[in-house]
Amino acid sequence: MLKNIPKPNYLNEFLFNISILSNGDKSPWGNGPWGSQPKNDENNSSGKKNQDNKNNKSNKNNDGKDFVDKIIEKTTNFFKKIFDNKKQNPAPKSGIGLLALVILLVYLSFGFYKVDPDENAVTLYFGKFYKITDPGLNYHIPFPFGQVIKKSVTNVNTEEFGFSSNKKNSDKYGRNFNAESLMLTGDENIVDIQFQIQWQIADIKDFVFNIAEPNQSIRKSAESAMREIIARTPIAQALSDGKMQIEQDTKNLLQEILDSYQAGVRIVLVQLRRVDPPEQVIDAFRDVQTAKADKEKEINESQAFANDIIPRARGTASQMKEEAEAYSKQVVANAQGEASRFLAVYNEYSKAKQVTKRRIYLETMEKIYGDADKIYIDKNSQSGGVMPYFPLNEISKKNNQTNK
Amino acid sequence: MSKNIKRYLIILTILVIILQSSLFTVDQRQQVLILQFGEPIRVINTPGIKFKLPFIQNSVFFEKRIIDLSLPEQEVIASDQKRLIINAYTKFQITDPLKFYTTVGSSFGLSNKLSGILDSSLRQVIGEVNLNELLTENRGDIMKKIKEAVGNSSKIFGIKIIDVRIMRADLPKENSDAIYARMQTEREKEAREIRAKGAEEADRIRAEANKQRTIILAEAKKNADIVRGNGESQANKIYANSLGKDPEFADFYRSMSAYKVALGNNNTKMIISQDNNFFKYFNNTKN
Repeated sequence: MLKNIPKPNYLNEFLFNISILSNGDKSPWGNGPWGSQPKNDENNSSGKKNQDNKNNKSNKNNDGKDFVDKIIEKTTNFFKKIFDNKKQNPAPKSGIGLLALVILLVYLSFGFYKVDPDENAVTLYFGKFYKITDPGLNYHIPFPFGQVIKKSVTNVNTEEFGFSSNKKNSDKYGRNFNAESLMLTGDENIVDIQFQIQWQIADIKDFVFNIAEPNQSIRKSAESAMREIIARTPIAQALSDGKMQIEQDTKNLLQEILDSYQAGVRIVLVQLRRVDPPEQVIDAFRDVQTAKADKEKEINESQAFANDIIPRARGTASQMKEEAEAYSKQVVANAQGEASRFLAVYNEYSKAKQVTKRRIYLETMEKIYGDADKIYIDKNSQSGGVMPYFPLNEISKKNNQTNK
Repeated sequence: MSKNIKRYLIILTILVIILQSSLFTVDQRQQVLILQFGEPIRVINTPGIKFKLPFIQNSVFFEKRIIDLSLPEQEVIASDQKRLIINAYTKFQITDPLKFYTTVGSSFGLSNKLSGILDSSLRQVIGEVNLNELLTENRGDIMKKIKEAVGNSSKIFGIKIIDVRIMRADLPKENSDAIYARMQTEREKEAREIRAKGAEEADRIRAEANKQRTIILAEAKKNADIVRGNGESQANKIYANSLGKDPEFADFYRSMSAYKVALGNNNTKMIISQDNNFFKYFNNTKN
């Protein structure tokens, strides 16, 4: 009989124990894991059913299930009646009872579920939210009464816009990256933006119950938020130093939008991956950068020129100054020398003026005439018929030759 | 005995069928309208296990969460006649399943009607503003206006508009091309200006440097001349002090040394007349 029942491996031992217990006359429920008392020992089957319902109830923690309770009570009574009638004939008791018990146990055993360390789960009974469960082994009454929805809450989800780090994705979704990445800026320019956002589930209850298609909603809201922020940012700012601001503003706006939906989502990061001018005009933008470099180059060159000529000019200036000072000293020194020489001569001269003067004259002429190439012309010899002839050219020539 | 069992089984089966058609669960994420012979009679908007009369009552389930509806790209004309390609999405919630059921029936019917409303509200509100306003912080206000307009027109459907947001607001392709052309020319303008400014700055620096050089040299020449002048004046003073004692002799003495320097080398050629004072005695030998 046991073999016919499908059972998960991890429950084998549990089931085995239970089945041994159930072989005895006494009901195993008395000390059962759910701790409720058997209502009626004389009627085992009815007791079991009752127990089952009790279990349901206790697990539900009396969470306002009046209606359910009523139903349970009604069914209990109904079955009681049936089995009361049946009491006279106890033959099928052991067979049917055991079968029912095993089925019940197997059914209940399906209620164990594991919440992984990165997950949280919400439990619903009859579709109504019951509680949030933390990681670990947990129990709920299985389908059709209970339902568990597990979501990873530590996992950071990434949405990419204008690009895909996974090439297959672009084919899968058939996304038009150009349409997604080209945005109109506040000064009516177009900019090519690739960005990504990272989000986490902040409140699993809100996340599960408040918003249909949460992933799509986050995507759309993120694109809308980024475009709104870009639409009020001038292109120059978006391309240069405004990136941090854009990321921050977008993050705040996106969080605001999602909070207004009570989406239970926390935006961890908004990151601009690339901000470029559109392809069509990128050369022009690059040329601006080149122009800036050119400008620097021109200025540097002129600076180099300035750095070259000014020190040289200063050098020339100090040279001129030194020369002038040297000259000045020189003329003064010459003057002093000449003056003292003159004074010395003059002292001599003043003692015997006429003689000294004549002597000086003669000494000078002696020196001059002595060295010079000279022709002396005697007046008296003119009568002798000498015709003075001066071949200046030849004299000069001769002169030159001797010089050579 | 077997008869009894059969009876119980039959009763049980009937019971199950009845229960199945009368009991149903409403999920936290759903709300339900109960119809009796097709006529809506009550709304269930709390989750849990619920009851209805079997066979004569039907349940219709509606989404309780916030639902997304996106509007495909539309061409809209702003009040300054600029055309825009806009797509938008709206978030709404079914607040009144009864109204919703009677006015639109299904979610599919709604998406048609709501798209129409969203489209016309979008046109109406954006038709009143300039494109420029969409490109400022006013965008939020504009979206609020659209949301209000959509909210008003869609009240009759038993839904509540949570949000309307413009996603893309782009210019049509022809305008984009014009923008690209403009961006390009703007950049060219900028690049030229930068280069010209570079040249300007460079020329300024060169001119400044040349000026500096000229000034430095001129100053230096001035100072040098002053120094020279001082030296000369000092020298003159010295000459004056010494030579001034006997100008006549000074003249003679200076002339003598000048002759020596000027004529006192081997190359000088002289034709000397006997009248020369130097030959005073040379001629007078006869006497």
